[in-house]
Amino acid sequence: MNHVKKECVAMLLAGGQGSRLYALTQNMAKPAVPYGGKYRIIDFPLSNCVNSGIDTVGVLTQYQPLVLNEYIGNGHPWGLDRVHGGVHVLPPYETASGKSWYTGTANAIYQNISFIDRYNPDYVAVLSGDHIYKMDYNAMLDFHKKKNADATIAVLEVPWEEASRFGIMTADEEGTITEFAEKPAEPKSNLASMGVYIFTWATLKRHLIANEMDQGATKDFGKNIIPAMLDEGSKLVAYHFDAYWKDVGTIDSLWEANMDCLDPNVPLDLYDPQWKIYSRNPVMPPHYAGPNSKIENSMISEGCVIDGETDFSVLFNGVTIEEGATVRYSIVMPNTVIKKGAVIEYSIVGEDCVVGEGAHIGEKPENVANRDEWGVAVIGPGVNVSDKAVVEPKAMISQDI
Amino acid sequence: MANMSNVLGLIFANMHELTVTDLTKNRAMASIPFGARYRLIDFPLSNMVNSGVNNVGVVTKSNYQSLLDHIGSGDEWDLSRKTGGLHFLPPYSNNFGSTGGLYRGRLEALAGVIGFIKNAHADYVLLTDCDCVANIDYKKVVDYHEAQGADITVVYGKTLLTPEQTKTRTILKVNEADEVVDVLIRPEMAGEFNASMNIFVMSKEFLVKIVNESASRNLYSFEINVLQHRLDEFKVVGYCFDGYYSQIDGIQAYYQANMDLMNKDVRKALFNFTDPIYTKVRDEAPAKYGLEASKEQPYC
Repeated sequence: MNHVKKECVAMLLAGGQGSRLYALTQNMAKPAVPYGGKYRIIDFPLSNCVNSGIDTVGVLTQYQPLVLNEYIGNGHPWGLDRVHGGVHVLPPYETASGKSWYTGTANAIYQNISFIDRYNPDYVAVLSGDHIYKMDYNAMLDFHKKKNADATIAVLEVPWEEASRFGIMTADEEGTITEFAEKPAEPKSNLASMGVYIFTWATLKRHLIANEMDQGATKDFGKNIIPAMLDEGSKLVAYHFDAYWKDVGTIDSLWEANMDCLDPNVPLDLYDPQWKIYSRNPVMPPHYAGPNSKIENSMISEGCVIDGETDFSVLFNGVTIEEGATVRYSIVMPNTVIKKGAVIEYSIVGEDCVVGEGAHIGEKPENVANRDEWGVAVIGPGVNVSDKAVVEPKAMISQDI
Repeated sequence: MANMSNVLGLIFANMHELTVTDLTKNRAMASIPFGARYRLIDFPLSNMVNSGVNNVGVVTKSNYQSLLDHIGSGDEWDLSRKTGGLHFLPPYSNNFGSTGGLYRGRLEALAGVIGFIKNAHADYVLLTDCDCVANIDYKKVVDYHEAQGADITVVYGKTLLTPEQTKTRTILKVNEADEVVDVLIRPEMAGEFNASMNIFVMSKEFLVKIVNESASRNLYSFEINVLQHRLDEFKVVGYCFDGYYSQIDGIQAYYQANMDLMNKDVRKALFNFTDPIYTKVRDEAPAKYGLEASKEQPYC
């Protein structure tokens, strides 16, 4: 083994489809979905790694990896182009014994045991690649070491009524986890797993191999590895996290998480120079606001040209809003053009779309009689919306209309 | 057609600093902030890269800390290369004893980096300063130089100038074949002139020759001692650039060049997808407009 030893290697699970984002994840994995004006979701765990001093990261890809592969490249934007370590995209591959897709989160790590072993780490952080949060993994690693744990699971307290949507831990007063239940119907606790784990590598490796041998197992961390470790009497501890954390797995939560960027009361500081969120740079000039533009409560990225109005919106790089067009409570992804007189409300418009003159997309909730019929309207990437077209609230458009 | 991988680019980071002394007190001309995002060197440097020049030397003289910080390894311009790439050339020489190693003019600056030039795999050398905000295809200039069989090609723009401006500029007189027939350095005149944009192309061989000849005679000004005094001896041609450009020849010009960016056509001329202007990325979050950000628009 000629590799420099790393104390901790991070494995980022980025193969998920994010099927509940529908049109937005047709051509890209969920971690590649744009967020917050200039980021993609994966920028958050990647930047957290770098800011936490973890410089060796494996990114496990499977579903629609092209956008993600190109985006990560050699890892330079995150400072992860390293001589020793750095970021490595790890797709499933063929071996002498055959080929197989990643059949579960645990299987994905299992298939990359040799990647991890090259760095001979003491610990491995397993991170889900689809949440928005800023977290010091190094503080969590210190906690893991201090507790002499086999596994440390980051948890946050969620409202009791939502607990059954998460993996729920029951822990004693010492923080030692006594029980784990994946999406329990009747939760015994409200400590939800954030999908951030630190394992002592030797223990995890043993369990990954045992799990792989078990024909009946689903090869999943929540369903197999964690319960098996508990059964065995391994020490699992809960690491409490109480800062901003947002799952962006649904259209509504993605929309909300973007709106959170605009809310000064939301504790997600993207402007902290000590904990920057890095992203690949689109190389565009500064944004330009024309003399008749009106911009309020919005986040505007480079390359935008605004001659119309925008309020409570997040505009990604290269977005054009022509004169007389209005964008409210919406998210407009890179390089999309909103033509004259178009109105976008409570919508997510994907990358490279053209919204024709006078088109109307989405609607205010108060204008919809039956609230169940209201929702955020979504225009998938690359869609052309013709002049004067109307897109109903909650609609999901992935073909030109 | 010129093979641009055969061209060495040289950018002079400190030339014309005396025209904007307030801005260059603590930094080189090259690293003066511009257009809400850029530094002046981003324009010539990006033009080089976009034109296919991948071997670039940045010749510095003084106050270059902020420039070093800006350029780093050159990776933002895709100039962190295995072969070629970006080379920072700080003052280096004991040739100019009385000046403590600081060159007095372009020829001495070139003499200080002559080893770098000689070692470069290049037939041509493209020289630019950092006083020109433009998006220029240098390949066209090199092609033109080759086609004309010129010794020196000078890029110029036809432009209306005040005496205040010509005081800092080099004015060319050209004949109908665009051959330079007269060179006026820092005259005080008003009118429309062919003003040098301080971008030059020469063959490497020719450049090395004139630098050596000048050094041995203690001559240091390229404009005076070569362009002007040896005009009859060499074939010097002008290349007329007719796109948008802004020459930073004073504080007024600097201000106006920034204000020009409010003009859609200027933005279109400077910024496009195929030939982008690169700059150092600061990884800052997008701009945020708060409550009532647009309420008052006193300048509209």
